[in-house]
Amino acid sequence: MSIPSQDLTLDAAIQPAQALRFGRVRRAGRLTNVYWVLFAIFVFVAIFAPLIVPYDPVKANVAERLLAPSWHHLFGTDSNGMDVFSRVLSATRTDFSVAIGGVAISVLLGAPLGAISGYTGGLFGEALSRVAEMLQSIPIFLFALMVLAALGNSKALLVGMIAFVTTPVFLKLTRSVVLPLRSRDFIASARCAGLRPGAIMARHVLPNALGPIASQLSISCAYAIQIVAGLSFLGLGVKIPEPEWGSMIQQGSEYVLFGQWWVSVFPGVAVLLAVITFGGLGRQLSAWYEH
Amino acid sequence: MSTEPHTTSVTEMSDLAERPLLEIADLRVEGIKNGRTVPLLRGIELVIGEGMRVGIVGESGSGKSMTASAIIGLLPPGVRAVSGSIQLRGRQLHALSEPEMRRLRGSELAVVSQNAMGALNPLVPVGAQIARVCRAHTQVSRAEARDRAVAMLDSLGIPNAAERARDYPHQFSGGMAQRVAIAMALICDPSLLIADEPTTGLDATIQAQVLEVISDSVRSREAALLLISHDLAVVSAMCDVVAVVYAGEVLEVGPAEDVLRDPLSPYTQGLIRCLKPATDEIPFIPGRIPEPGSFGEQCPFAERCPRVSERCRHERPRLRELRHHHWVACHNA
Repeated sequence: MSIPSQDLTLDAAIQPAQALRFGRVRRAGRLTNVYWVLFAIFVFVAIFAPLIVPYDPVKANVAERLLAPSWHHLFGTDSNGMDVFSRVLSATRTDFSVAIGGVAISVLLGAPLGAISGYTGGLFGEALSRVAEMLQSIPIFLFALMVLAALGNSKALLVGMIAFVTTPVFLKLTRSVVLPLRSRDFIASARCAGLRPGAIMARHVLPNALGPIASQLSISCAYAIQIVAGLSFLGLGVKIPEPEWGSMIQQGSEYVLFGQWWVSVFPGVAVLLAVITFGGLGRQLSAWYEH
Repeated sequence: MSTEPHTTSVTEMSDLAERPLLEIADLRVEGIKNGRTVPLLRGIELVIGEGMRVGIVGESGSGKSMTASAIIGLLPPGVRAVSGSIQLRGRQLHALSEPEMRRLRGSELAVVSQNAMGALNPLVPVGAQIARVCRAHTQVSRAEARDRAVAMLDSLGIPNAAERARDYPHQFSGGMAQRVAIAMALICDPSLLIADEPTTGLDATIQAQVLEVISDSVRSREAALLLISHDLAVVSAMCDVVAVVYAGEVLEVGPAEDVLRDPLSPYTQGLIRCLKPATDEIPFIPGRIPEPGSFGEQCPFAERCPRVSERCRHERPRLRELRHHHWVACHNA
């Protein structure tokens, strides 16, 4: 208490509440760091996996099938004798590039469209928004199954799939942020000052939408990773033997019953950690801009 | 409603100004209310000369701000100008394309709005916001624009202008924020500054300061000022010419001192009585301003007028020059 208080009872009454508040702040701060550290580790692994993995992630070795975790094979080996540790690390790049790639495309498409939809308003903006809602109502897994089954498995298609699902999210989000901004006085005064619509959009409208977009970006990445892993689990998207968490879980699932849990569990933990990291970062970012 | 033009021609009223800058003639603006078009401005007549200071006084809803919006060509959605003309140095503004109009806004016609804090983007340092307007209209380098912004802030009485330019709007008090907004409006040396209730929401002491800043800066730049206010006292102290508007019409125009000393319209007389109460009782004008579209071809003030006659209810009075340079729209003045 920096303010000397004459009223001791009041002082005492305030203290617990404040202690609680500081405690929460500190806890929140520590959590933030955990998420950022995890994120940094994931990015590091995604970039440098080929340099740090102990074994070739796609080299089969029939002599070393389904070995339990040991110092030799930290996460054990799978039914093809491939090193699970090397595969989990290498899969980070696959999963992250597909998920982040898809989300990046969707934000580059969805945010400007949403800004236009919200800023111009009118029938065109309304129409864009309705189209986005229509797309959002399509069940993603069913749709992805159809598309990937019809057009074949490819990573590019998977990226497109993710972009397809998340673009409407960014469109709606940006529209919802921009719509109330339109009637703000500083937008009116920018128009009175003769700034071009493009300049107003880039300098006055979009910067105000950056906070919500950043947080949604992270949350969408978490969602995208689930989609990548989920579709690959179903045998769509990334082709075996390219290391990918979902397909590894699927591949190991038949051995879990026989006690050979490591083939599925380690990639499963990786998916879980990735989703928690992105989800946590997203919530931190939204708490930060709403503060 | 008849579309017959006003009997007063702009040329006649332009005697008020030696070199007319902005001439508004028979400006009619309509809006849509409950699916019905209603007249919002019913033939505004006004002339602003170069370097002249003109005030528009009126109650809320009288069309003061709508007139300003019409001048800069940014009427709210659903509202449109149906007839009349606005000329800037002889150029018809409504004949200009949107890009041409945009080049005029901020450079020739500048606006200071009522809510300065709201008029500034909370995410951008104020200096950068002013420099941006400068760069939108003039070919100057970033550094040059920034220097001009700082110089402008300094000239408007913001201490430590160079440092304050890096501050964000929330770090400014209301009065200081209004100075920033004025700096943003004046950065391109406009010929006309439109100040729409620039002191609303400010403390009385700050109000006087801000008005003085506007008055001084307009004078030193030889820019014309269109001051919009509901406060007759402020307008007559700041302006050379006063126009009293009511329900979208100009009821009286004249040199500020003449209007204040010898008001011709019963409405203006009522306003002045409210300004200087003779007794302990607070005077007021009974009734309220009519809703747009609720009255036809008549004097809009007829229902509240102490001098109303039968003619007022059937025939709309036109502006006529009753005294030298002093017009009034009243049958019984």
